[in-house]
Amino acid sequence: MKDILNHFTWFFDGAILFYVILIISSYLLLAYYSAKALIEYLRVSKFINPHELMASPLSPSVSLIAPAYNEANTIVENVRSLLAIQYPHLEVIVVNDGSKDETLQLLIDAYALVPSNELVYHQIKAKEIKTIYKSTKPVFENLRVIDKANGGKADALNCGLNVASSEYIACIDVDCVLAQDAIIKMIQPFLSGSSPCIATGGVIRIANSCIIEDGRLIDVILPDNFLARFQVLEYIRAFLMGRMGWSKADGLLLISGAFGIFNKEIAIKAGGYDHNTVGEDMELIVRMRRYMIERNQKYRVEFIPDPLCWTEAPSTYKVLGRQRNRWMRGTIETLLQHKVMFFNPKYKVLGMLSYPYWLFFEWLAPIIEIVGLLYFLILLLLGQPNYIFSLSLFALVYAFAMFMSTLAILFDELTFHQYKRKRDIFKLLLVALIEPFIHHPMVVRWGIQGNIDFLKGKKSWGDMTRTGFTKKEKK
Amino acid sequence: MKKVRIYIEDWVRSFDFEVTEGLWLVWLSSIILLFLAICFFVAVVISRYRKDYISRWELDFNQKVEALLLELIYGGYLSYEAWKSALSFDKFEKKYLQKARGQKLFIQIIATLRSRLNGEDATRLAEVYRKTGLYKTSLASLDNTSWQAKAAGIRELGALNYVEAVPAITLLSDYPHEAVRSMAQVALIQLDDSDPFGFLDALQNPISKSTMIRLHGAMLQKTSLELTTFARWLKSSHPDVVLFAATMSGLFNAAEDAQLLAQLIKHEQVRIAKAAIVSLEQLGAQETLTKEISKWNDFPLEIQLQLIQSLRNLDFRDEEMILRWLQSDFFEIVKAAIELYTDFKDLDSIRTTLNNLPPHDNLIEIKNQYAHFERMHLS
Repeated sequence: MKDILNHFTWFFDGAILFYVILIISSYLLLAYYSAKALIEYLRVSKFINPHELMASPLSPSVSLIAPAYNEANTIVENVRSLLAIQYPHLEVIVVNDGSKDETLQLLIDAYALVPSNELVYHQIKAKEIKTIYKSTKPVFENLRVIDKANGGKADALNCGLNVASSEYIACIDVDCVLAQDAIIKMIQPFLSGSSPCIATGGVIRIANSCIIEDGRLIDVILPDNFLARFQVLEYIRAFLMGRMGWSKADGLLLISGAFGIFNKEIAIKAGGYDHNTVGEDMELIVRMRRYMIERNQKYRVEFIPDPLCWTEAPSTYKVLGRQRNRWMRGTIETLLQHKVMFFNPKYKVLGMLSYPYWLFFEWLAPIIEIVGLLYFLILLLLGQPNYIFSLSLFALVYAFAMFMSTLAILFDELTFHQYKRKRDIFKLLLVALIEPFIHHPMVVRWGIQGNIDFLKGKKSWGDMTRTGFTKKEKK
Repeated sequence: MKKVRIYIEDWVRSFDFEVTEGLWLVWLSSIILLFLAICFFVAVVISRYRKDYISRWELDFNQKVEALLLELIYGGYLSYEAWKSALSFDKFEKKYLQKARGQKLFIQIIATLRSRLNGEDATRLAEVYRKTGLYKTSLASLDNTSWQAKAAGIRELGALNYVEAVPAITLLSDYPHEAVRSMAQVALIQLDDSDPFGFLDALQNPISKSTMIRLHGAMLQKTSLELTTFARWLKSSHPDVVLFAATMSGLFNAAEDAQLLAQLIKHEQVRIAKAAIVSLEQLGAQETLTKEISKWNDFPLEIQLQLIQSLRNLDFRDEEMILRWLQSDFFEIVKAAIELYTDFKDLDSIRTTLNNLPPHDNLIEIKNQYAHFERMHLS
């Protein structure tokens, strides 16, 4: 019996160590690719003059689609922020997805909206449009508000896709604050390069405690709330080191639903957003990429590292838990829906690297972590714990977490230098020290809960309570 | 390596732990990672303080350079020695100015200042660049192996009007790297008065949308350009050159090109055909576009849609033709036709027209959509 147990522990220790080495190698490779991509991006950016695009009649048109559901508290200000974005040919489409509150009426009053007669070509299936509104004020002539029956975020985005008249569509969360030059920067990959770009994703940053005035970001401050601070670090790591690296390796599988620009024609041909998943943003990108690969068409999906979109992060464990639970379910749904790609050489980097990465290190990581912990506890109960091995592994993982976090902060500091106050940088470094002990276990817990809820067939989004942005006090 | 291994294993044993074979590597990795994390930590802190210091220094330096330049151009003297021995620079700054980086920064400041000045002042500033010999730094960049150095050099030469660089820049106008190519093409428009678009003749590499926007911007800024025709490039074998010429014909109102543009509507590349239609619309060539309708069935859907759109913008009113479009199997065509029809007809007559159409596959859907459209209109 003891021999069997010894063999088992030997095998299990080896498997865990192998998994850890594999995950560390992947992250190191991603960090390397990210560094390369960041340097390249900064070099090319020096030769881009945004004013040329602003002044040119040749700049492509962009339709900005923002779905809104029960956003009465912030909708007027949020739409004002969208209307303030600098871009020459921009159409702002707000889709009121059957809100039960005053969202629509507030928009009608604030922007002097009246029904307009438009014939909509329903290229993608979406719930019925009740009315399309336009403003009577010339200053808001690029605003359209669609009132439709409730159908969820994906349905609202599809409805926006049907109504949009531009070549490119920017899909955003209505509560996000975009940088003034967000569209100018995000549209650049569509205008250059040897192969056509079908989508670009942008970095999402945390706006809690930042000063927002008239829908514009005035001052970037590290959040007071500790939970939001953890997310700041997570976002810097995920965007500057994860997605940037995947973009360079041509394996980007996710463009955040909070802000992304797509080629409308390809998005429609690929079938638009999927109503049956809570991870509709990831699913659309995977489908668009599959569409291009399966037709042997050259294409690119790019990622822009500039901090262009600012969002309010959940500031309570309850709300954050719901969000992470949904993200996990969305990942599982998308991966299962496109399982044909798994280690399929036809899909190149996507099938051979990205898909397995998402499967083993995003979906299965919390499960493997919990299994490892249970294994240690069982050995402890049996009186056979391998302290030195567990301690070594813990030291390695902690050292690596520190390495990645400090490297991410360094990337941010050397490139976009967002937190101007010195104390913010020190606070962020402190967060990096304690994050593995406080925040990470919670993330694992929510990941496990997401798996359980997926098995139970849960499809809901869960309420996302927001407290609103910090406004500049008027003296 | 052996020594490191023994050292780590002894260290682990000092905690009364049993050392497993190979585990020392895990410890070594952890120590290296932790050490690197501390290095990054220190680097972040140093970078923060360094950045603050450099930005303060640069601001001060820029102000000094700008003040000196203004003194040079308004003071009426332009000598190399004047700026070199300027008393306002301290020892470090003077040394910095001797280095390539310092000179590059100096050129950048001149170029930025020149973009803010007009007429005589701008010319005098370009003279500073010439007389101080700073153009040599820019010219030397063209031979640099790095694409960024080349692109920056070209940009400086173009912005500061160093026309003698045209032959050297022409050689880079078809460079494989897009940024270099694009900068060279823009610079040639800025500098080459005799044949600003000559580079298009031998172009092999593509012209991206972004380059086209940049070239158009440069053309608008160069007021001395007389652009009456782009015919020479409308016949090019390079599709991007044809697209560029077709687009510019419309934007610069090159009426002479109407006939060639009309021929391009049949071009195998949809983007070129669409650009030709848009340009004909910009030239106000309704007659030419109306003639093209006779070949309607030969055109792909996108071209048909562009034609309707352009004709609508030109106040097209041919009811017979609109009726034909209303019978299309394609919803996009019917939608465009209804939109065009509503410009001059009331909803009743459109409804009657739709009701009298012969049945086809999409007609029920089209009628449903139209009913919805009408409901929205009436509400």
